[in-house]
Amino acid sequence: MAAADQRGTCVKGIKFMLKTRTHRQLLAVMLLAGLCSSMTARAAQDAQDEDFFVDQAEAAEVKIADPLESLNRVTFAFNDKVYRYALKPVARGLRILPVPVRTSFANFFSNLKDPMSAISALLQGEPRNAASELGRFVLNTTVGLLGFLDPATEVGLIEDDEDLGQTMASYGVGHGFYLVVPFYGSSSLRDLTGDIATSSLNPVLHNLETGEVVGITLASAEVNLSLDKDSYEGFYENSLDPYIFFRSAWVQNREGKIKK
Amino acid sequence: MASIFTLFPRLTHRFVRSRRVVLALGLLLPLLSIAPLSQADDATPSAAVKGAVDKILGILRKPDFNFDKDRSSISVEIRKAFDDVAMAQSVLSTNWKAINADQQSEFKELLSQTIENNYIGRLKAYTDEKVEIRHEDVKDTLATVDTVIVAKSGDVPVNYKLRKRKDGWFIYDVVVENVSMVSTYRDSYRPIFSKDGIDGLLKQMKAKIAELKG
Repeated sequence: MAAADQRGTCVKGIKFMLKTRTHRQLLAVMLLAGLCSSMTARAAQDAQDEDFFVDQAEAAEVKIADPLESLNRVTFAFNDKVYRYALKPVARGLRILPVPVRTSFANFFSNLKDPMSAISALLQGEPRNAASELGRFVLNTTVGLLGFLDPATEVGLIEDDEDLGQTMASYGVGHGFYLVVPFYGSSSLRDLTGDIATSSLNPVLHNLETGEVVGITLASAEVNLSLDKDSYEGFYENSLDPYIFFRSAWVQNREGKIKK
Repeated sequence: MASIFTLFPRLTHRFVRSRRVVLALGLLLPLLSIAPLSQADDATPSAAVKGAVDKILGILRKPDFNFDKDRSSISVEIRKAFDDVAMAQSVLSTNWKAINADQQSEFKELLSQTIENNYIGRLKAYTDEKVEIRHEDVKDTLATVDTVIVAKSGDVPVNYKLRKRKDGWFIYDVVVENVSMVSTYRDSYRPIFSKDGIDGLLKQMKAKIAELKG
Protein backbone atom coordinates (compact mmCIF):
# COMPACT_ATOMS: atom_id res chain seq x y z
CA MET A 1 0.00 0.00 0.00
CA ALA A 2 2.80 2.37 0.97
CA ALA A 3 4.62 1.44 -2.24
CA ALA A 4 1.59 2.33 -4.39
CA ASP A 5 1.17 5.70 -2.65
CA GLN A 6 4.78 6.60 -3.18
CA ARG A 7 4.70 5.53 -6.79
CA GLY A 8 1.68 7.77 -7.35
CA THR A 9 3.38 10.80 -5.77
CA CYS A 10 6.54 10.17 -7.77
CA VAL A 11 4.73 9.92 -11.08
CA LYS A 12 2.90 13.19 -10.36
CA GLY A 13 6.20 14.87 -9.49
CA ILE A 14 7.91 13.69 -12.67
CA LYS A 15 4.98 14.78 -14.83
CA PHE A 16 5.03 18.24 -13.22
CA MET A 17 8.75 18.60 -13.89
CA LEU A 18 8.42 17.52 -17.50
CA LYS A 19 6.05 20.40 -18.27
CA THR A 20 8.93 22.92 -17.99
CA ARG A 21 11.95 21.59 -19.84
CA THR A 22 15.19 23.42 -19.03
CA HIS A 23 18.54 21.80 -18.25
CA ARG A 24 18.06 22.27 -14.57
CA GLN A 25 14.74 20.66 -14.58
CA LEU A 26 16.03 17.80 -16.68
CA LEU A 27 18.42 16.98 -13.86
CA ALA A 28 15.63 17.39 -11.39
CA VAL A 29 13.58 14.86 -13.31
CA MET A 30 16.42 12.40 -13.39
CA LEU A 31 17.26 12.93 -9.74
CA LEU A 32 13.66 12.48 -8.83
CA ALA A 33 13.37 9.40 -11.02
CA GLY A 34 16.43 7.91 -9.36
CA LEU A 35 15.19 8.68 -5.87
CA CYS A 36 11.75 7.42 -6.67
CA SER A 37 12.95 4.15 -8.11
CA SER A 38 15.01 3.43 -5.02
CA MET A 39 12.26 4.57 -2.68
CA THR A 40 9.52 2.55 -4.29
CA ALA A 41 11.87 -0.45 -4.43
CA ARG A 42 12.52 0.00 -0.71
CA ALA A 43 8.83 0.35 0.08
CA ALA A 44 8.00 -2.65 -2.09
CA GLN A 45 10.70 -4.64 -0.30
CA ASP A 46 9.31 -3.61 3.08
CA ALA A 47 5.80 -4.61 2.06
CA GLN A 48 7.12 -7.94 0.84
CA ASP A 49 9.04 -8.50 4.09
CA GLU A 50 5.93 -7.67 6.05
CA ASP A 51 3.97 -10.31 4.18
CA PHE A 52 6.80 -12.75 4.62
CA PHE A 53 6.98 -12.32 8.38
CA VAL A 54 3.22 -12.32 8.81
CA ASP A 55 2.92 -15.47 6.67
CA GLN A 56 5.79 -17.16 8.41
CA ALA A 57 4.29 -16.30 11.77
CA GLU A 58 1.05 -17.97 10.77
CA ALA A 59 2.81 -21.04 9.45
CA ALA A 60 4.80 -21.42 12.66
CA GLU A 61 1.74 -21.41 14.88
CA VAL A 62 1.51 -24.38 17.22
CA LYS A 63 -1.87 -24.75 18.79
CA ILE A 64 -3.32 -26.90 21.49
CA ALA A 65 -6.93 -27.27 22.57
CA ASP A 66 -7.51 -26.05 26.09
CA PRO A 67 -11.15 -26.74 27.01
CA LEU A 68 -10.26 -26.98 30.69
CA GLU A 69 -8.51 -23.59 30.76
CA SER A 70 -10.33 -22.28 33.85
CA LEU A 71 -9.49 -25.41 35.84
CA ASN A 72 -5.95 -25.50 34.44
CA ARG A 73 -5.39 -21.92 35.53
CA VAL A 74 -6.37 -22.83 39.10
CA THR A 75 -3.98 -25.80 39.04
CA PHE A 76 -1.27 -23.61 37.51
CA ALA A 77 -1.61 -21.11 40.36
CA PHE A 78 -1.51 -24.00 42.86
CA ASN A 79 1.62 -25.49 41.26
CA ASP A 80 3.22 -22.05 41.29
CA LYS A 81 2.84 -21.98 45.09
CA VAL A 82 4.13 -25.55 45.44
CA TYR A 83 7.11 -24.56 43.30
CA ARG A 84 7.90 -21.36 45.17
CA TYR A 85 7.30 -22.55 48.72
CA ALA A 86 8.26 -26.23 48.62
CA LEU A 87 10.27 -27.34 45.58
CA LYS A 88 12.43 -24.27 45.10
CA PRO A 89 13.62 -23.83 48.71
CA VAL A 90 14.82 -27.45 48.72
CA ALA A 91 16.56 -26.95 45.38
CA ARG A 92 18.18 -23.78 46.71
CA GLY A 93 19.37 -25.76 49.72
CA LEU A 94 20.91 -28.35 47.40
CA ARG A 95 23.04 -25.62 45.89
CA ILE A 96 25.47 -25.91 48.80
CA LEU A 97 26.63 -29.08 47.03
CA PRO A 98 29.20 -28.39 44.29
CA VAL A 99 27.90 -28.39 40.72
CA PRO A 100 29.83 -31.56 39.67
CA VAL A 101 28.17 -33.51 42.50
CA ARG A 102 24.72 -32.36 41.49
CA THR A 103 25.48 -33.01 37.83
CA SER A 104 26.45 -36.58 38.76
CA PHE A 105 23.13 -37.09 40.49
CA ALA A 106 21.33 -35.61 37.50
CA ASN A 107 23.21 -38.11 35.31
CA PHE A 108 22.21 -40.95 37.62
CA PHE A 109 18.50 -40.09 37.42
CA SER A 110 18.70 -39.49 33.70
CA ASN A 111 20.35 -42.88 33.21
CA LEU A 112 17.33 -44.58 34.80
CA LYS A 113 15.22 -43.23 31.97
CA ASP A 114 17.41 -44.46 29.12
CA PRO A 115 15.96 -47.99 28.84
CA MET A 116 12.45 -46.57 28.29
CA SER A 117 13.90 -44.03 25.92
CA ALA A 118 15.34 -46.93 23.91
CA ILE A 119 12.02 -48.80 23.91
CA SER A 120 10.12 -45.64 22.88
CA ALA A 121 12.57 -45.06 20.03
CA LEU A 122 12.26 -48.68 18.90
CA LEU A 123 8.46 -48.41 18.87
CA GLN A 124 8.81 -45.30 16.73
CA GLY A 125 10.74 -47.29 14.15
CA GLU A 126 14.04 -45.63 15.01
CA PRO A 127 16.34 -48.62 15.66
CA ARG A 128 19.48 -46.48 15.50
CA ASN A 129 18.32 -44.16 18.28
CA ALA A 130 17.12 -47.19 20.24
CA ALA A 131 20.53 -48.83 19.95
CA SER A 132 22.24 -45.60 20.95
CA GLU A 133 20.06 -45.19 24.04
CA LEU A 134 20.60 -48.84 25.01
CA GLY A 135 24.33 -48.40 24.47
CA ARG A 136 24.24 -45.33 26.70
CA PHE A 137 22.49 -47.26 29.46
CA VAL A 138 24.91 -50.20 29.34
CA LEU A 139 28.03 -48.04 29.15
CA ASN A 140 26.97 -45.51 31.77
CA THR A 141 25.69 -48.15 34.21
CA THR A 142 28.97 -50.09 34.07
CA VAL A 143 31.88 -47.83 33.14
CA GLY A 144 29.94 -44.81 34.32
CA LEU A 145 29.48 -46.29 37.80
CA LEU A 146 25.71 -46.79 37.93
CA GLY A 147 25.19 -43.75 35.74
CA PHE A 148 26.82 -41.11 37.93
CA LEU A 149 29.26 -40.47 35.12
CA ASP A 150 28.37 -40.03 31.48
CA PRO A 151 31.15 -41.63 29.37
CA ALA A 152 28.55 -42.39 26.68
CA THR A 153 28.29 -38.74 25.63
CA GLU A 154 32.07 -38.59 25.39
CA VAL A 155 32.16 -41.48 22.94
CA GLY A 156 29.47 -39.82 20.84
CA LEU A 157 26.30 -41.48 22.13
CA ILE A 158 24.35 -38.26 22.60
CA GLU A 159 21.25 -38.46 24.75
CA ASP A 160 18.02 -38.41 22.80
CA ASP A 161 15.14 -38.04 25.19
CA GLU A 162 12.28 -40.26 24.01
CA ASP A 163 9.10 -41.28 25.79
CA LEU A 164 5.86 -43.06 24.96
CA GLY A 165 4.05 -39.75 24.45
CA GLN A 166 6.42 -39.05 21.57
CA THR A 167 5.88 -42.61 20.32
CA MET A 168 2.13 -42.03 20.24
CA ALA A 169 2.69 -38.73 18.43
CA SER A 170 4.76 -40.54 15.81
CA TYR A 171 1.68 -42.69 15.09
CA GLY A 172 -0.38 -39.56 14.57
CA VAL A 173 -1.99 -39.32 18.01
CA GLY A 174 -2.64 -35.66 18.84
CA HIS A 175 -2.33 -33.98 22.21
CA GLY A 176 -6.04 -34.33 22.87
CA PHE A 177 -6.06 -31.27 25.09
CA TYR A 178 -3.81 -29.36 27.45
CA LEU A 179 -3.68 -30.40 31.08
CA VAL A 180 -1.96 -28.86 34.06
CA VAL A 181 -1.44 -31.70 36.52
CA PRO A 182 -1.17 -30.88 40.25
CA PHE A 183 2.43 -31.21 41.51
CA TYR A 184 3.50 -32.31 38.02
CA GLY A 185 2.96 -29.40 35.67
CA SER A 186 2.19 -29.04 31.97
CA SER A 187 1.02 -32.05 30.05
CA SER A 188 -1.70 -33.17 27.69
CA LEU A 189 -4.07 -36.09 27.64
CA ARG A 190 -1.66 -37.94 25.33
CA ASP A 191 1.54 -37.06 27.14
CA LEU A 192 0.20 -37.71 30.64
CA THR A 193 -0.93 -41.17 29.49
CA GLY A 194 2.47 -41.61 27.89
CA ASP A 195 4.34 -40.53 31.01
CA ILE A 196 2.37 -42.85 33.28
CA ALA A 197 3.02 -45.76 30.91
CA THR A 198 6.68 -44.78 30.50
CA SER A 199 7.40 -44.84 34.20
CA SER A 200 5.28 -47.89 35.06
CA LEU A 201 6.75 -49.99 32.24
CA ASN A 202 10.34 -48.96 33.02
CA PRO A 203 12.22 -52.22 33.72
CA VAL A 204 14.69 -50.43 36.00
CA LEU A 205 11.93 -49.19 38.30
CA HIS A 206 9.91 -52.39 38.01
CA ASN A 207 10.54 -53.83 41.48
CA LEU A 208 10.03 -50.56 43.30
CA GLU A 209 6.99 -49.43 45.27
CA THR A 210 4.95 -46.51 43.93
CA GLY A 211 6.21 -44.37 46.81
CA GLU A 212 9.79 -45.10 45.84
CA VAL A 213 9.16 -44.17 42.21
CA VAL A 214 7.59 -40.89 43.37
CA GLY A 215 10.61 -40.31 45.60
CA ILE A 216 13.02 -40.85 42.71
CA THR A 217 10.98 -38.54 40.47
CA LEU A 218 10.96 -35.85 43.14
CA ALA A 219 14.68 -36.16 43.88
CA SER A 220 15.42 -35.98 40.16
CA ALA A 221 13.30 -32.85 39.83
CA GLU A 222 15.03 -31.18 42.79
CA VAL A 223 18.51 -31.87 41.45
CA ASN A 224 17.62 -30.53 38.02
CA LEU A 225 15.95 -27.52 39.59
CA SER A 226 19.08 -26.76 41.60
CA LEU A 227 21.09 -26.74 38.36
CA ASP A 228 18.56 -24.55 36.54
CA LYS A 229 19.27 -20.82 36.48
CA ASP A 230 15.92 -19.67 37.87
CA SER A 231 14.43 -19.66 34.39
CA TYR A 232 10.89 -20.21 35.66
CA GLU A 233 11.00 -17.12 37.85
CA GLY A 234 12.60 -15.10 35.05
CA PHE A 235 9.97 -15.93 32.47
CA TYR A 236 7.16 -15.69 34.99
CA GLU A 237 7.92 -12.15 36.04
CA ASN A 238 8.52 -10.98 32.47
CA SER A 239 5.26 -12.37 31.19
CA LEU A 240 1.94 -10.56 30.78
CA ASP A 241 0.10 -13.85 31.21
CA PRO A 242 2.40 -16.56 32.63
CA TYR A 243 -0.22 -19.27 32.13
CA ILE A 244 -0.31 -18.73 28.34
CA PHE A 245 3.44 -18.21 28.22
CA PHE A 246 4.25 -21.57 29.80
CA ARG A 247 1.55 -23.36 27.85
CA SER A 248 3.01 -22.07 24.60
CA ALA A 249 6.57 -22.89 25.66
CA TRP A 250 5.60 -26.40 26.73
CA VAL A 251 3.78 -27.16 23.46
CA GLN A 252 6.72 -25.87 21.39
CA ASN A 253 9.22 -27.88 23.41
CA ARG A 254 7.18 -31.06 22.90
CA GLU A 255 6.74 -30.40 19.16
CA GLY A 256 10.48 -29.94 18.84
CA LYS A 257 11.19 -33.24 20.59
CA ILE A 258 8.65 -35.08 18.46
CA LYS A 259 10.19 -33.77 15.24
CA LYS A 260 13.66 -34.96 16.24
CA MET B 1 7.94 14.45 -0.60
CA ALA B 2 7.45 18.20 -0.43
CA SER B 3 10.94 18.66 1.00
CA ILE B 4 12.51 17.04 -2.02
CA PHE B 5 10.69 19.41 -4.38
CA THR B 6 11.77 22.50 -2.47
CA LEU B 7 15.37 21.29 -2.35
CA PHE B 8 15.76 21.07 -6.08
CA PRO B 9 16.24 24.70 -7.16
CA ARG B 10 19.15 25.13 -4.77
CA LEU B 11 20.79 21.85 -5.63
CA THR B 12 20.57 22.39 -9.34
CA HIS B 13 21.74 26.00 -9.14
CA ARG B 14 24.88 25.13 -7.22
CA PHE B 15 26.17 22.05 -8.91
CA VAL B 16 24.86 21.92 -12.40
CA ARG B 17 26.36 24.03 -15.19
CA SER B 18 26.47 21.97 -18.35
CA ARG B 19 24.26 19.53 -20.12
CA ARG B 20 26.96 16.85 -19.95
CA VAL B 21 27.05 16.95 -16.17
CA VAL B 22 23.32 16.68 -16.19
CA LEU B 23 23.39 13.60 -18.37
CA ALA B 24 26.24 11.97 -16.50
CA LEU B 25 24.52 12.51 -13.19
CA GLY B 26 21.28 11.27 -14.59
CA LEU B 27 22.89 8.08 -15.82
CA LEU B 28 24.78 7.53 -12.58
CA LEU B 29 21.81 7.97 -10.32
CA PRO B 30 20.05 4.70 -11.04
CA LEU B 31 23.37 2.95 -10.37
CA LEU B 32 23.73 4.72 -7.04
CA SER B 33 20.32 3.62 -5.98
CA ILE B 34 21.20 -0.02 -6.66
CA ALA B 35 24.60 0.12 -4.95
CA PRO B 36 23.41 -0.28 -1.34
CA LEU B 37 21.72 -3.56 -2.29
CA SER B 38 24.99 -5.27 -3.11
CA GLN B 39 26.84 -3.89 -0.07
CA ALA B 40 27.55 -5.47 3.29
CA ASP B 41 27.86 -9.04 2.08
CA ASP B 42 31.03 -9.49 4.10
CA ALA B 43 29.32 -10.08 7.43
CA THR B 44 28.03 -13.64 7.83
CA PRO B 45 25.11 -14.61 10.08
CA SER B 46 27.52 -16.35 12.46
CA ALA B 47 29.69 -13.25 12.65
CA ALA B 48 26.63 -11.13 13.43
CA VAL B 49 25.56 -13.46 16.26
CA LYS B 50 29.06 -13.89 17.62
CA GLY B 51 29.73 -10.16 17.55
CA ALA B 52 26.53 -9.38 19.43
CA VAL B 53 26.85 -12.15 22.04
CA ASP B 54 30.52 -11.35 22.68
CA LYS B 55 29.80 -7.66 23.16
CA ILE B 56 26.87 -8.27 25.50
CA LEU B 57 28.71 -10.91 27.54
CA GLY B 58 31.71 -8.58 27.63
CA ILE B 59 29.62 -5.91 29.33
CA LEU B 60 28.02 -8.42 31.72
CA ARG B 61 31.46 -9.76 32.70
CA LYS B 62 32.98 -6.40 33.55
CA PRO B 63 34.33 -6.54 37.10
CA ASP B 64 32.49 -3.33 38.00
CA PHE B 65 29.32 -4.38 36.23
CA ASN B 66 26.23 -2.71 37.60
CA PHE B 67 22.93 -3.79 36.17
CA ASP B 68 21.21 -0.42 36.30
CA LYS B 69 24.26 1.55 35.22
CA ASP B 70 25.30 -0.67 32.30
CA ARG B 71 21.82 -1.46 31.18
CA SER B 72 21.77 1.17 28.46
CA SER B 73 24.99 -0.03 26.84
CA ILE B 74 23.62 -3.59 26.70
CA SER B 75 20.43 -2.24 25.26
CA VAL B 76 22.40 -0.47 22.52
CA GLU B 77 24.14 -3.74 21.56
CA ILE B 78 20.88 -5.67 21.52
CA ARG B 79 19.21 -3.07 19.35
CA LYS B 80 22.14 -3.12 16.94
CA ALA B 81 21.84 -6.86 16.47
CA PHE B 82 18.07 -7.42 16.52
CA ASP B 83 15.62 -6.62 13.75
CA ASP B 84 12.86 -4.88 15.71
CA VAL B 85 10.48 -4.50 12.76
CA ALA B 86 10.69 -8.16 11.77
CA MET B 87 10.14 -9.21 15.39
CA ALA B 88 7.14 -6.93 15.81
CA GLN B 89 5.55 -8.16 12.56
CA SER B 90 6.25 -11.74 13.49
CA VAL B 91 4.79 -11.40 16.96
CA LEU B 92 1.60 -9.60 15.92
CA SER B 93 1.23 -11.75 12.81
CA THR B 94 -1.98 -10.86 10.91
CA ASN B 95 -2.91 -8.27 13.54
CA TRP B 96 0.10 -6.16 12.43
CA LYS B 97 -1.87 -5.02 9.38
CA ALA B 98 -4.93 -4.20 11.44
CA ILE B 99 -3.25 -1.39 13.40
CA ASN B 100 -2.07 2.04 12.28
CA ALA B 101 1.49 3.27 11.81
CA ASP B 102 1.66 5.00 15.22
CA GLN B 103 0.46 1.90 16.99
CA GLN B 104 2.92 -0.18 14.98
CA SER B 105 5.86 1.94 16.04
CA GLU B 106 4.75 2.05 19.66
CA PHE B 107 4.31 -1.70 19.71
CA LYS B 108 7.70 -2.15 18.10
CA GLU B 109 9.35 -0.03 20.80
CA LEU B 110 7.57 -1.73 23.71
CA LEU B 111 8.34 -5.18 22.32
CA SER B 112 12.02 -4.26 22.02
CA GLN B 113 12.07 -3.22 25.67
CA THR B 114 10.24 -6.38 26.72
CA ILE B 115 12.62 -8.61 24.80
CA GLU B 116 15.59 -6.73 26.21
CA ASN B 117 14.34 -7.35 29.76
CA ASN B 118 13.92 -11.02 29.07
CA TYR B 119 17.13 -11.53 27.12
CA ILE B 120 19.31 -9.61 29.56
CA GLY B 121 17.72 -11.41 32.50
CA ARG B 122 18.43 -14.81 31.02
CA LEU B 123 21.90 -14.00 29.77
CA LYS B 124 22.86 -12.64 33.18
CA ALA B 125 22.69 -16.19 34.54
CA TYR B 126 25.27 -17.39 32.05
CA THR B 127 28.09 -14.87 32.36
CA ASP B 128 30.59 -17.49 33.52
CA GLU B 129 29.94 -19.80 30.63
CA LYS B 130 31.28 -19.94 27.11
CA VAL B 131 29.14 -19.53 24.03
CA GLU B 132 30.13 -21.60 21.02
CA ILE B 133 28.85 -21.32 17.47
CA ARG B 134 28.06 -24.82 16.25
CA HIS B 135 26.29 -24.55 12.93
CA GLU B 136 25.15 -22.05 10.35
CA ASP B 137 22.45 -22.62 7.79
CA VAL B 138 21.80 -19.96 5.16
CA LYS B 139 18.86 -20.04 2.79
CA ASP B 140 18.82 -16.99 0.55
CA THR B 141 18.06 -14.03 2.85
CA LEU B 142 17.28 -16.14 5.93
CA ALA B 143 19.67 -17.95 8.21
CA THR B 144 19.80 -20.02 11.38
CA VAL B 145 22.84 -19.95 13.64
CA ASP B 146 23.02 -22.71 16.24
CA THR B 147 24.97 -21.87 19.36
CA VAL B 148 25.55 -23.71 22.59
CA ILE B 149 26.07 -22.23 26.03
CA VAL B 150 28.66 -24.59 27.42
CA ALA B 151 27.78 -24.78 31.11
CA LYS B 152 29.07 -27.00 33.86
CA SER B 153 25.51 -28.06 34.57
CA GLY B 154 24.93 -29.11 30.96
CA ASP B 155 24.89 -27.53 27.54
CA VAL B 156 22.08 -25.19 26.61
CA PRO B 157 21.34 -25.01 22.89
CA VAL B 158 20.39 -21.50 21.74
CA ASN B 159 19.51 -21.02 18.09
CA TYR B 160 19.26 -17.63 16.44
CA LYS B 161 17.16 -16.86 13.38
CA LEU B 162 18.39 -14.06 11.18
CA ARG B 163 17.35 -12.22 8.08
CA LYS B 164 19.52 -10.32 5.71
CA ARG B 165 18.88 -6.67 5.11
CA LYS B 166 20.86 -4.24 2.99
CA ASP B 167 22.94 -3.31 6.03
CA GLY B 168 23.78 -6.84 7.15
CA TRP B 169 22.31 -9.78 9.04
CA PHE B 170 19.87 -9.17 11.89
CA ILE B 171 18.40 -11.49 14.52
CA TYR B 172 14.62 -11.77 14.53
CA ASP B 173 14.13 -14.79 16.80
CA VAL B 174 15.90 -16.73 19.53
CA VAL B 175 15.02 -20.39 20.00
CA VAL B 176 16.01 -22.08 23.29
CA GLU B 177 15.25 -25.80 23.71
CA ASN B 178 12.79 -25.68 20.78
CA VAL B 179 10.97 -22.72 22.30
CA SER B 180 10.85 -19.70 20.02
CA MET B 181 10.81 -16.33 21.71
CA VAL B 182 8.70 -14.79 18.96
CA SER B 183 6.14 -17.65 18.93
CA THR B 184 5.77 -17.51 22.69
CA TYR B 185 5.12 -13.76 22.63
CA ARG B 186 2.71 -14.23 19.75
CA ASP B 187 0.72 -16.84 21.68
CA SER B 188 0.78 -14.68 24.81
CA TYR B 189 -0.36 -11.48 23.11
CA ARG B 190 -3.03 -12.92 20.83
CA PRO B 191 -5.70 -13.42 23.52
CA ILE B 192 -4.99 -9.96 24.96
CA PHE B 193 -5.27 -8.39 21.51
CA SER B 194 -8.57 -10.18 20.85
CA LYS B 195 -10.02 -9.16 24.19
CA ASP B 196 -8.68 -5.64 24.79
CA GLY B 197 -7.51 -4.59 21.33
CA ILE B 198 -4.17 -2.99 20.51
CA ASP B 199 -4.68 -0.19 23.06
CA GLY B 200 -5.23 -2.68 25.85
CA LEU B 201 -2.17 -4.65 24.80
CA LEU B 202 0.05 -1.55 24.64
CA LYS B 203 -1.21 -0.46 28.06
CA GLN B 204 -0.42 -3.82 29.62
CA MET B 205 3.03 -3.94 28.04
CA LYS B 206 3.79 -0.46 29.38
CA ALA B 207 2.58 -1.44 32.85
CA LYS B 208 4.79 -4.56 32.84
CA ILE B 209 7.87 -2.61 31.77
CA ALA B 210 7.24 -0.03 34.50
CA GLU B 211 6.74 -2.80 37.06
CA LEU B 212 10.06 -4.46 36.15
CA LYS B 213 11.86 -1.13 36.43
CA GLY B 214 10.39 -1.10 39.93
